[in-house]
Amino acid sequence: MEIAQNQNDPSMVALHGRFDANECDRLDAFVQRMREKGQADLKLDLSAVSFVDSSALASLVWLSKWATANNQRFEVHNPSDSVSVILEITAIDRALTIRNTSPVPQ
Amino acid sequence: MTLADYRTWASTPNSSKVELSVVVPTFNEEWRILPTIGAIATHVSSMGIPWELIIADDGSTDSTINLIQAIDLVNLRLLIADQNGGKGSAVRRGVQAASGSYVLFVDADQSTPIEQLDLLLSKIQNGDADIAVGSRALNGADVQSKGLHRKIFSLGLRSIIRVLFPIRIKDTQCGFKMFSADSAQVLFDMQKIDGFSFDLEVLYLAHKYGFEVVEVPVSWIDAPGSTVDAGKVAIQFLQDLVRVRMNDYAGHYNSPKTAETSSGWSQN
Repeated sequence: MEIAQNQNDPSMVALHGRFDANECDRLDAFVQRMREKGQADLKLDLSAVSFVDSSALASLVWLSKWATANNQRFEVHNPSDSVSVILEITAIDRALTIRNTSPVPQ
Repeated sequence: MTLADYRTWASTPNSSKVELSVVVPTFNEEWRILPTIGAIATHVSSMGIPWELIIADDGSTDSTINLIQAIDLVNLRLLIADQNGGKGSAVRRGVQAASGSYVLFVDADQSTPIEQLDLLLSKIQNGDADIAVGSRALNGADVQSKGLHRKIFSLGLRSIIRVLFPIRIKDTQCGFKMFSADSAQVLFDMQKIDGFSFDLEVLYLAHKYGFEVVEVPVSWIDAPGSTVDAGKVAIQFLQDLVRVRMNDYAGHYNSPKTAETSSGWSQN
């Protein structure tokens, strides 16, 4: 999975590929580094993610809970069709803020 | 159109002949099954063919069955077993219940992403094969996150199979295989191994009865959280190798129901 931070909107992070248990630690570390640099709001662009497994779903929920507890913002942006269906049938879409927006220029 | 296709499939019963059946065996997969169903349903629905999803549960004692029942997809069939009978028995029940012209069985962990089915389907639709087998051992396969002990284990099994069995499939155990309906009916009616070695038995029978099998390199990602005990599986696998040979010597594979009435298949 590739992780890329948007240069024009540092709170926007785009994931590419398969987001599964093998990748959760990498995303956690990436987000931790963002926070250490003062970037606590997070908008996660999942438009290019093909699959999320249960560990990835747990990561999303954890990020959402952390943001709520720390008065920060966490949003999922533009989930792919596959991810949208997975969020829907697991009912995790109800626990997240999901936005379908225009892509932010890199 | 993908999301719209999924919603149509999820809510409208198939009205024409099912073209593709996707069979997923499950045993205590409460953590993994819903993402897997979501990924399969989205991709296959986008192909624009009538298809069905069959979850062949193998006596799960966790909430796997409740979770599947709760999502209520009209073209999903859930087969429930009273007790755990082994992966081979679950796949057999699923394949025998399938009504599609093509039958894909796929592991519940999405180790092989469902998008790879297009590669297998084209091989059978083009008439290149009766059976298309996903392979992690061919050039062109993309294998990620496979641990060293698992690589050594796989290499050892392949070597043993190569010596003891006439089949020339490099990867018999990849949980991603597609069958024409005819071959599925013949092979799974004869299949006797209920455990993890059923793949090998089915491929052995495919060779014996002259079905054309093609191996297709696929992507494969090691999915953490396997419920399988590798040590037990290895011992069982070796026992099953002997059992398949013994079954054949004893004539237990000599009378496929369909082959008796068909002219195209002969024993090798």
